[in-house]
Amino acid sequence: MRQLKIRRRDRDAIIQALRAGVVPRLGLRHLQVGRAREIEEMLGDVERIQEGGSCIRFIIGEYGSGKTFFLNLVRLIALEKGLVAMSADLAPDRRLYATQGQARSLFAEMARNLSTRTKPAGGALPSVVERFVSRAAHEAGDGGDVGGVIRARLAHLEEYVGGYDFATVVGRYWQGHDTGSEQLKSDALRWLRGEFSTRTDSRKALGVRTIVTDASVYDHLKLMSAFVCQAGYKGLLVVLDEMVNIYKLVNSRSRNANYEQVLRILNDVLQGSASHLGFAMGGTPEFLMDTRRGLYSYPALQSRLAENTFARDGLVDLSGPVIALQNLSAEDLYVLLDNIRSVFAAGKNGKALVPEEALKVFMAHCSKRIGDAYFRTPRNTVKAFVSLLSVLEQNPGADWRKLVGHVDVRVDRGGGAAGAGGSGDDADDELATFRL
Amino acid sequence: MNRSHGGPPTFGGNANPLDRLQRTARGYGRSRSMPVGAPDLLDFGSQAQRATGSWIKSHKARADECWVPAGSSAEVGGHDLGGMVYVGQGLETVRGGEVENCLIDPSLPVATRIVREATLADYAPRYTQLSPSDRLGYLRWLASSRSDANVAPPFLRLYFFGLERRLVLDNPPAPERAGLIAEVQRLEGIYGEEYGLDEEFVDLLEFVSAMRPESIEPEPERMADHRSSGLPLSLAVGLGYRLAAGSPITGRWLVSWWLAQPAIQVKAGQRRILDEFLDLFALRYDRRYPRGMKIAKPARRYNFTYFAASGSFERKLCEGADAYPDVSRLRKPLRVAKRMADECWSALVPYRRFLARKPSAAGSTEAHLYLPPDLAVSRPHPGLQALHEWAEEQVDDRSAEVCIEDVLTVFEGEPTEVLRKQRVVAAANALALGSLGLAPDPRFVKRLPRFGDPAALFRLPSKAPKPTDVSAQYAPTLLILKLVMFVAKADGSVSEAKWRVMEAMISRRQRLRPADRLRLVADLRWLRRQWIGAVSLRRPCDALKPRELDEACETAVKVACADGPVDPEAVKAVQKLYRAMGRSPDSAFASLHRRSANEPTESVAPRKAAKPSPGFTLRQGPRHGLRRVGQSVDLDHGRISEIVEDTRKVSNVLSDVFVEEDAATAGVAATPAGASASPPVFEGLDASHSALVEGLLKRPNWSESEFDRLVKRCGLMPGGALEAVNEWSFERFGDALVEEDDVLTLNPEVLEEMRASSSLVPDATA
Repeated sequence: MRQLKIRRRDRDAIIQALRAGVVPRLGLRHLQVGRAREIEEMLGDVERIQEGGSCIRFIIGEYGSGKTFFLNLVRLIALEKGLVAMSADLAPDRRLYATQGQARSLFAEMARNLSTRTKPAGGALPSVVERFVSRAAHEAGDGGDVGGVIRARLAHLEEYVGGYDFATVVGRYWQGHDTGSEQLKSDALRWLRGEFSTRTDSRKALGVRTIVTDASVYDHLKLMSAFVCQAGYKGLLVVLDEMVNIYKLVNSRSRNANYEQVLRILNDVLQGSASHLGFAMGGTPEFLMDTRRGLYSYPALQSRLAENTFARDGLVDLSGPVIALQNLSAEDLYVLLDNIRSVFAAGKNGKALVPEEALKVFMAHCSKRIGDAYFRTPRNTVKAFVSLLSVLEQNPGADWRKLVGHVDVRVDRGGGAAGAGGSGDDADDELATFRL
Repeated sequence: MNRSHGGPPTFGGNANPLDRLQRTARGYGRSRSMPVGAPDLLDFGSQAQRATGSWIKSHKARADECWVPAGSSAEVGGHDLGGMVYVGQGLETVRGGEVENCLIDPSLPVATRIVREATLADYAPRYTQLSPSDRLGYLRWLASSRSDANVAPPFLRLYFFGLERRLVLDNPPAPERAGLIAEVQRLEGIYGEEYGLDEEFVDLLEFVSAMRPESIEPEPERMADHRSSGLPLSLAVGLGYRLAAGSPITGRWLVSWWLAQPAIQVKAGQRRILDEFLDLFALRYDRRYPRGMKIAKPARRYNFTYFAASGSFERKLCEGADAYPDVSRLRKPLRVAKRMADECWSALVPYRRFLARKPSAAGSTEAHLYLPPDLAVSRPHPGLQALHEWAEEQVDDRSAEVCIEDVLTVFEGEPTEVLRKQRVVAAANALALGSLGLAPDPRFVKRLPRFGDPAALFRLPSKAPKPTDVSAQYAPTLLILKLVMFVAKADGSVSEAKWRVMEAMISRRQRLRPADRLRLVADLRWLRRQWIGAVSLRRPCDALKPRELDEACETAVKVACADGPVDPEAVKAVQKLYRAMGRSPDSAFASLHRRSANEPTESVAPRKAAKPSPGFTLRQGPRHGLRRVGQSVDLDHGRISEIVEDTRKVSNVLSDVFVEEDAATAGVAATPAGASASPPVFEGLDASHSALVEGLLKRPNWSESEFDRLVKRCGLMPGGALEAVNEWSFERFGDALVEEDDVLTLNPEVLEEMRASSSLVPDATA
């Protein structure tokens, strides 16, 4: 096994995120515990996207089973493989399909979180656009028609819905750069992020009559995948977490419309209509299985999601769209804490802040305080452990044995959309079933 | 021995048969001391000279000469008398001095017509003393079929005296002996009680039988009618003979002995089922004492003396060392017999009650079913054989699916019009006699049978217990299976995989007997064809214990996932099941998911710690998951090893993804064309970006505005340039060169690597 070098940036990001109780966006490979087959399968998907294929995966797991962690890891793998990733958590105001702007809101969130290997934390859309434009400018040469090169290179986007306007907006970005108009560049990025809410504003700012609407979110994702390929990336991975929010929609028409979008994506992927495009969607078991409100309530989806009927009695076929994640066990948590200890020790043996024995004592303490919840929903356990190690790191003379007894661990009562993405709008969930 | 009895064969009120025999001979002689030995057993009177061997031989020869055997004939006074009489002259009694009273002397006159009816009232008439008219009457009766109901008693006695003498004294050959015994029995049947000769007949037959103890057979049927206090001679001698010979006592001997006890009264109801009782007793006795019961030989012995009814002789059966052990005072075998008899009578109570209700049903198939199973099996009934043959045809391998009314039709021999629970139970019992089972058995299923209901036939182990004798685990397991089958059938088919899951559940449940397991598999077959509604889940759920409900849930979830995809209908079914159990239907998703994810299913259960420990112990063992022990926890060492191994695999996979690649192969994607002019350290970057990097390397930190100006000088765009440079840096050095924050900072690690590869790179940090 090759020892993974832990970058300082990754180490800090991991520690900060874990202390905040959220899944780190960087360096997850240093924390990952087990799930080799699942990760290999997802790696295969990423490679398929690289090669021009498409894929879709539903990552199904119970609360606390590590869906968000897994999705983030997949996202980082994709970035490392030269893909661009767009990620967002679904929420009551962010859906795949809506009529009141919630779908556009989801797209905007995804665009804001667009990340590349050099900007894994998101906000990479300008970089991607500029990289494309720079290439066009380089291709055009000094005094060349950069706009013409841009249009020529994006000509094939016109095959897609809204492709022409998309190319126009990218051209506007160059135009803004060329003319020194920061406003034009900003408007172009706003358009690409789906932040224009009316066509009038769009026409005034950029001269294009279309905008990203609730109905065209998926079309723009396809456009974006084609665009990032032109910018030198190998494809686009869309990561959608907290899909259970669709399940939570009370209005059946609205819910089914969202499932219809999922079906549309699924069909495109399975039929090969999409290229260089992949989807990873995270949800809870009820999102998948509930026959009244889950994916199974939509017969067309259910039949397509059927697993391989030969995969049973211990045989595994992960090539189906659904990957079921096992819950964490105490033993998983033990290995995870050990990994965290290694991260603190910057991956160098001998510099560990606490001995291995401390893990056991710490787990015993947590078990005593909150029972089985300490490993079933390990967010608070991990948070407390990282805090403990931080204190020990900053107070080299402190005795971990004395500190362990004072660690305060509480039961994690979060659930559903209160995901680990740290998007900060979890409070909105309470309105999911609010009616007047 | 088959005989008809005119009345109870008794020897009187004495306990000892010898006393009875002495009493029988009252009035005709007295018991006296006798010589020992077979010939000496006869009393030849006080004249010692008569007791010589030559006299005996000549006397026997004379008797044989006078005896007219059956099938031969003698003519006296013009009458053809037939056989079985002594005819001639000079045959004396063994005491001597007088002619045998039964001897027909042809020389004596016989009247040609009967003047008056015989008036002799003597108990010991003599032929010689009859009047010619009486002789005519006697000879006529002998010449007839000897069955005239109005024959004069002296004539009958005279004839009987002859038979008695021949049987007891002459020791005739076996065929003749059998003919004589049959004749005595015939006479007993015709004249016994009415002529006051019943006791004499019985005594003679008993004694004759006792003369050949080795051929005595137990007669429990006759003993059931035995009313007197003493044991019948043949029984006492038969038992004594077997004890003396050291032979084991069979069941029929023991039950005969027990029935002959004066305290034992066989009631009318019991008499109706006496045959079944005797068979059952013998059956269970043989099972309990396969080699027969060994009884210690008692020291006390009997002497038996027969006093002839004719008064002309007496004979001892045996004496001294040849006397038989006296069984009359043995109590232990009778205690065993009583215990077994009580048990058998109890086992036959249902049969007895049934016959009391329906006397006409004796011998019917239905009556047969009320017999104890072991007895019913040992007495095959033709009516049941048809049912068994039909069922055997259906049960090809281990189980067959039929309709409930088909079973009843074959059982009852005609189409069934009304389905009654009792009839189905009877059919199940009938099948059980042939080691076949019927599922559902109405005794275990609340639902009453209806037309069209499915049923399953199956083979039971040859030594299966009674159908009603199931283990305590059977009923709850059946209820669990019903719940599971509800889920299994939800998607319209019960696949082999689901079937295996359910069979595995049956196998897993301990304390089920082999017959129970077979029955449960058969139950699965009919449950598969039986419609199960969601409403019907409530009752089983209420009846089961929480732990059993957990097991039902676990198995139902396994069944739902057995075919791979979890069918929506199966999900619905599991939810309904959870709801019926009073659990949240939503928790079904988690269960199904865990099963889909191949998670170890062992539930977390608290258990008592043998010795509370404040810390951790690593346990080597195959069990997965966490077990809490008081305030401590127990980690599975093996599981940790598995996870570490899995993590190592992941680490290898991720290393391939995240570990920096060789510089020589990197940078193609990120590098714009025209990079040939770059210095080696900037290999992979075009001129503009090389210039930008060169500019950047001058300072470790750049503000955003400073960076923008630098980028513009290079003819690039800030975002795109930063992306391209960092991408190049990633490919080349495994990390980004420029890190974005409030200010742009050059990555010192990358800088160090760049410096190491080229002296052109200045020390920006200096």
